[in-house]
Amino acid sequence: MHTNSNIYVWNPSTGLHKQIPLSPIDSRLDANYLCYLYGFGYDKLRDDYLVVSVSYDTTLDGIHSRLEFFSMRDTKWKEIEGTYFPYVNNYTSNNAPRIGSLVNGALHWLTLHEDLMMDVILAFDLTERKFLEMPVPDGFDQELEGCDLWVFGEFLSLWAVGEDIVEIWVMKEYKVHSSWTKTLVLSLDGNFIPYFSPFCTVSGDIIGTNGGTELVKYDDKGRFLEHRPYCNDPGGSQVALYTESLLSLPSNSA
Amino acid sequence: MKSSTSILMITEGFIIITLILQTKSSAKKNKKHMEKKTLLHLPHELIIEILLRLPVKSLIRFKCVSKSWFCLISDPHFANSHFQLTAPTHTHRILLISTLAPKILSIDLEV
Repeated sequence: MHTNSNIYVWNPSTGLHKQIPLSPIDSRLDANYLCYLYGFGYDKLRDDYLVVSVSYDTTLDGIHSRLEFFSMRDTKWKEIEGTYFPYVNNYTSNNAPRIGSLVNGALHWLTLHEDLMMDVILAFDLTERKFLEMPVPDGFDQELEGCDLWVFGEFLSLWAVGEDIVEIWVMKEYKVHSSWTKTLVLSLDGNFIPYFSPFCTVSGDIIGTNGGTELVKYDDKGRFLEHRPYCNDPGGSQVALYTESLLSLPSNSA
Repeated sequence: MKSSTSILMITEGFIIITLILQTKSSAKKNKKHMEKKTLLHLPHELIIEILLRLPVKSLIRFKCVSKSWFCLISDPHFANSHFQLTAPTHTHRILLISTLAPKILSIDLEV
């Protein structure tokens, strides 16, 4: 969860949680850093969990990004220096940071490459602790109303909302650009389902939200199954999928 | 309501654990409950093997059974073994986090 600069890591099954201390640079008074990309993932090699944050100083002209990650094992922030970083979040409104999709031991964000004025997928490898860039699939329409990355089963996937449709693209082989396939086109019925953003799959079905107020389900062939309202607040609420576990964080004292 | 008794019944791979909470005074009065306690005398290793195969929700509940179960279920090594052993049947839930009110709901979509 991310609220302003307070970050908590929480296991909803056990109720154990931990607050991540502020990064040392966040407590500086002469700067005002705003986080625009973040994520949480597991580093198999070191048996460590990382919180990754990309932010920029709003008091300066232009984007001067600060890249850093917090290691749960070392309980400290580490800054990644000397990386040229022309990526910005061009999509989410109200300055909400974009959350990374965890696939293959790396976090992924859909970003805009400012120099090229092109969408690219930015990845952060949690073991190598390095950023790398991947192109979006050929034929992917960047002019669509809303799009983002998500995890389709175990694959990195892109969804994009167009007029009355949602396109779903899947990278069937990790890091193999030619394996990107437009797998499904879901049709939206403007009256019932004006919008759809998928966020998880359960037993092959695709679950998403209709603007954050309803859960909507499609089957693996792209057929509409059902929709259920869950939120009365028109502003909607956030959704997330979690795996039930008893796991705790390294050196957890909560 | 300090003391507790557990009854373990094992049928076809299912384990039903019933908890009977009793006060100290009712423990004295009610011999029946005292007798059932003997059923708990399974070898410790066997109890661990059984617990490792139970759903997360049950295990969280069983932390209240006894101090030794609490310690066992809270142990990170137990958590790791449980996570690996149950990998083929991991259960998922969806969290709904309201942006205004501090209200968090979760639903099970597997049923």
